[in-house]
Amino acid sequence: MNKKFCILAIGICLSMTLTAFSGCVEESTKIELKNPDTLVYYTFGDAKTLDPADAYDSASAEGIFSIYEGLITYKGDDLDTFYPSLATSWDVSEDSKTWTFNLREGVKFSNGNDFTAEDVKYSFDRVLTMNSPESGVAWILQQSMDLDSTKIIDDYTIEINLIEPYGGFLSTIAYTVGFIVDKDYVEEHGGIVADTENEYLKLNPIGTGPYMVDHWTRNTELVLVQNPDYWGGWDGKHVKKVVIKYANEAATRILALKNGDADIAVIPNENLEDVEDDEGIIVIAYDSFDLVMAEMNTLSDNSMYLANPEVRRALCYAFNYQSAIDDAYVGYMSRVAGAIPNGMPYYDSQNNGVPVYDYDLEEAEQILDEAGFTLNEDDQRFDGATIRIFYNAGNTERYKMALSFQEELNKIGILSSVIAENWPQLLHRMYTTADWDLIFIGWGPDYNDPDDYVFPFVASSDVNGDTFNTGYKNESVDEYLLEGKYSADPNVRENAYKNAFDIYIQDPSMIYIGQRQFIRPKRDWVQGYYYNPVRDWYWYDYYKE
Amino acid sequence: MLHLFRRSLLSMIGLILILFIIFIAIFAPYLAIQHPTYVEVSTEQGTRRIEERWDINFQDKFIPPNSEHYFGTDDFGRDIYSMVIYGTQISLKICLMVVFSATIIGIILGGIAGYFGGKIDEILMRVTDVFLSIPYLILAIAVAAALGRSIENIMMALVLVWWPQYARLLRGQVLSIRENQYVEAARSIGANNWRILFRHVIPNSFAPLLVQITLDLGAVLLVAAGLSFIGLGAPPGTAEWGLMISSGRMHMFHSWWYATFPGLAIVITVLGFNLLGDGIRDITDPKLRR
Amino acid sequence: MKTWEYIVRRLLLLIPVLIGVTIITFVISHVIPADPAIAFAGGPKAQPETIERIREELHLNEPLLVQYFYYLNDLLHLNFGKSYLESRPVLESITQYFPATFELTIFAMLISVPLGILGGIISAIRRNKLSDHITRIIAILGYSMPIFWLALMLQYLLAYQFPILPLEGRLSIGLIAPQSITGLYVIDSILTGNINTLSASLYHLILPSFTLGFATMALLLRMTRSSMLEVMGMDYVRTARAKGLSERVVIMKHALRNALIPTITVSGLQFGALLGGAVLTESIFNWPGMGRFAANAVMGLDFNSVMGFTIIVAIIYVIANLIVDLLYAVIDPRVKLGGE
Repeated sequence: MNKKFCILAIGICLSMTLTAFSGCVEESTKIELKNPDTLVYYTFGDAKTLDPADAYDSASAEGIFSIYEGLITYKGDDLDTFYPSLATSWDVSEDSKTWTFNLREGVKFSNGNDFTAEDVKYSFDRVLTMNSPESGVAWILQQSMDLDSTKIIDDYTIEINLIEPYGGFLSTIAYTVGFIVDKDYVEEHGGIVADTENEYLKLNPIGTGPYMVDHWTRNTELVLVQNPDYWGGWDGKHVKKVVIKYANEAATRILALKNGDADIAVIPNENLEDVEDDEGIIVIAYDSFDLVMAEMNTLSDNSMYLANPEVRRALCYAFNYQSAIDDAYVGYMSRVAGAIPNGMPYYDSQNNGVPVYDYDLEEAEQILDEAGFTLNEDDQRFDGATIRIFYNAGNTERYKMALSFQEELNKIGILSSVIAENWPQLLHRMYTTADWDLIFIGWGPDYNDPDDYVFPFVASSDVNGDTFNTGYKNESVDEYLLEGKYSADPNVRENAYKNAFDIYIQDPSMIYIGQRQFIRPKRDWVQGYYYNPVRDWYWYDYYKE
Repeated sequence: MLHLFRRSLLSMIGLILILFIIFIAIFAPYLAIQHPTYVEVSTEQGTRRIEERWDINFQDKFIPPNSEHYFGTDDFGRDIYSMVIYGTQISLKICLMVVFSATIIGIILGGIAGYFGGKIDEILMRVTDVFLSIPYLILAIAVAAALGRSIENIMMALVLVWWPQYARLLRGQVLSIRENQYVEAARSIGANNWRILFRHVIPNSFAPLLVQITLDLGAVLLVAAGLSFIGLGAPPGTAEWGLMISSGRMHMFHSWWYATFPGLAIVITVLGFNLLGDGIRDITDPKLRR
Repeated sequence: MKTWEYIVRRLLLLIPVLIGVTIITFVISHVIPADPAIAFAGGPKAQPETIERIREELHLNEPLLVQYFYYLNDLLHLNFGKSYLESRPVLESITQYFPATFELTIFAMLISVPLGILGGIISAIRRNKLSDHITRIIAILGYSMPIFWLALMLQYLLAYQFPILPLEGRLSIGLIAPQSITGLYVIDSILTGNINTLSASLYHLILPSFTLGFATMALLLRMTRSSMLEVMGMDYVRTARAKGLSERVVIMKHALRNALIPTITVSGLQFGALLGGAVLTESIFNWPGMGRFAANAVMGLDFNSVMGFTIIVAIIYVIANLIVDLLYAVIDPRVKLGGE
């Protein structure tokens, strides 16, 4: 062994370090439009199924919305009006129970079969019989339909008799679960078996939609190509091919967007700064209905302190909302007044849309002092008991909120511990134990109605609410919420939600942190892009130029 | 011993690197700029646990390396240099505890198997077969996933993965030494089995064991960092190198320093152990000493 | 003992080992305090009936021992259960992902074994010369570097800062995978004569397989070097040299053959390390193989997938070791099969 060796070793180490350092050299190159006829979307996860009768996750919907069609549809970012799709017109009886749909003639499935009323009845009955064994999505139709509901009048007319009048009926059949499959095709491939999924349909969808599956390599990519026989035709500008790439690592998606491989990509909020300054990348934030909350366990095993409403109110004051918006969500979030998100009906019934709680540590301390939870000799409240804050591992935004909440709590003498758990573990903890104090959670819409929010959040489990298992129960709140759920009179509903809010916000089971914005950074050559909260993607409308 | 090291420059470098790391670990409070606080919290089981906390300062996030923050700051505005410094404590703790525990278990089980032979040997060896038939990283991942995120749990997972190698090694040593004349002699004068095991067999297995231990210290560190990297090891907020790389990965494009420096720290430490292990092997293996 | 007898004996020995593996994986995946049923039924939006049905399907309501026997029984019917993350049978997932991992590990081996051996030989022959030093430093760094960090750095430098290599995946966007014959894109491309996919898949293999094989290369280099040095000092090599045989003949015919034996053993054992490394490498390069699948399954606590993956890997690993032992005997006739 000699000196030469040593010098060499040091030299190589140094040069390696330097290579690593050279990372700071920025260079900008103009990215050219690649594959003008192919739209590439980088996202995470994988579609679980392409069978509309058993799909309840957004990744599956990204494909199904363009492969299959329902009787009615949305247009663009308009989520209040329904437009004709497989039905050309529809009517409803006086008692709002019987709906008649006139179906479009001359529509063919992508395998060449004709679309008729038979297919409509078959599709609805299929959802009800199959009972979505893997996802449970069938409830959306089951709440208003049974096997006798759908009647074929003639080849192109169908009548649906609802079990009970239901205001949200049209929005349920505009969702993927109400989409139409080809009867003959399904019968050829397994037919309908009660409570059992159809493995063939999961992978081999045949619909009437503008696109059809070219291939789907699980967890890798889903490639859609134009359905040449699409009844809507291919005039105007459309892409020939849509590639949905699944990449779980955010870094991969960022790089793909930056170098132009991806046209649209899912980018975590904290990484938006990586792409927003790039020439040719457009970052637009759309209002969404996604709420961010921290639920508090009113029946916690760990400490009975949270059972006290005053303590929960104090925690609402101790939360630094602005820091959550600025630091965790990088500004792409706004405050929300209560359980009903801004943009939905009756939002203003919640203290006129103004949040009741603001970040105010002094107020929090005062509430705690008055409730008798004073500082002990170690300057700790609750005699040093630990409030355990959970979040699902890997969610960096919630991690940031959790760590900064820990700091705030520390300032008012509350000891806390932040714990990351994998999603299934956390769900197990939330549902089968009371062994937690605070969990960061989120909620997105099934359909455009406040009942889909406020009811699962604050109604008690006695009336099938309390989706997050907070243990919260207030009989007056339950009454008001049931009134709001079943009434069709907007004034009655408005009042019911206002009354419920005034009670539950003073006895909070959740910290309503904010309402997220929906952001899908894209290259500037992607045209026709819009956001519709109840129909994330409709590839037919996008093109590249 | 030292004069032997001097003959091999590389192992000398290894020794220096390791002493350097140990020095940093011990004097971390004097070397670092920012310091964690240690808070005692209660856990699920009602026991108390010490948690490591770093101050958050979102205003200072992603500062590039400068004279104040030598390695820059991370997404929480924490000083990466200080975290890397304190990370040596965690890393050394993991390596030493894991290898030490695995060695003890291996010595006991391997010694018993090799020395007594027969049924015990057969059973123990089949058990080690099972453990060794799963690549160690994969086994460690599965165990760590089951145990949950904490430093103690990765250590437990790694011990479970590592002990069979030592049992095997020791059994082999024992088998060869058992037949040696001096053991025969000891037995003939009526020394009891345990005495022979601890007085003769284990001391004679020391050299290969030491080489294995030193090399494994580095290997354990790599696996532990790997576990943290995929989100199974150290709990979030800890200054663990693998975890820092994992969080830094998301910010690679605008803050290259975040993932780079903890990685270099791992390379340097593992390099030290490996060079040292090679050196010890050269010294203790007479065949190679030429 | 005859060769086939030895193989049969080794295969029989596999049975207790595999039973042990199922016990280990079963135990570790069932001590997790998690309810996969809720997660798979859609989290907070899950319907109670769906959760209950999934629980029944997974036999989660039965005692652990009963669950284990259900599992063993299924295994005997080659049924690894259903992956709830991908909502399809685990065997199907593994069948899809296996070729990608196999291709990656094969290429990692193709890069690391020749380079490692060649480097080792050069290093040994030119002992203490400049080339020896360079190769040794690379070797030491190779097995001191966390594979995920190396992957990150290489990806950052070569796919982002100086974008000369692809960032992720097996094929470029817009290319359709060659018709599946073996599942290995390179082989399939050759068989179907598709030059586009051949070049694209080779291009995509460079970075991940180099990363994955780097540590193995380093290890083999070190092994080859030290066993070459050892062998070259032995009497028969000295004799050969004394006989006046050329240095080349001495090295190729006498030294190398014997020096390669430990190297081959190590390569076989490294196969396991590569499969482990694949879990980290595949995630970073978004390589659609078993490693990435396993990492997802672990994070999603998908019991069946984790167990299926571990068992498959254990089988592969044990068989790889068996093949190594047989090769060992072919190369070195002195080794008697089964001679313990």
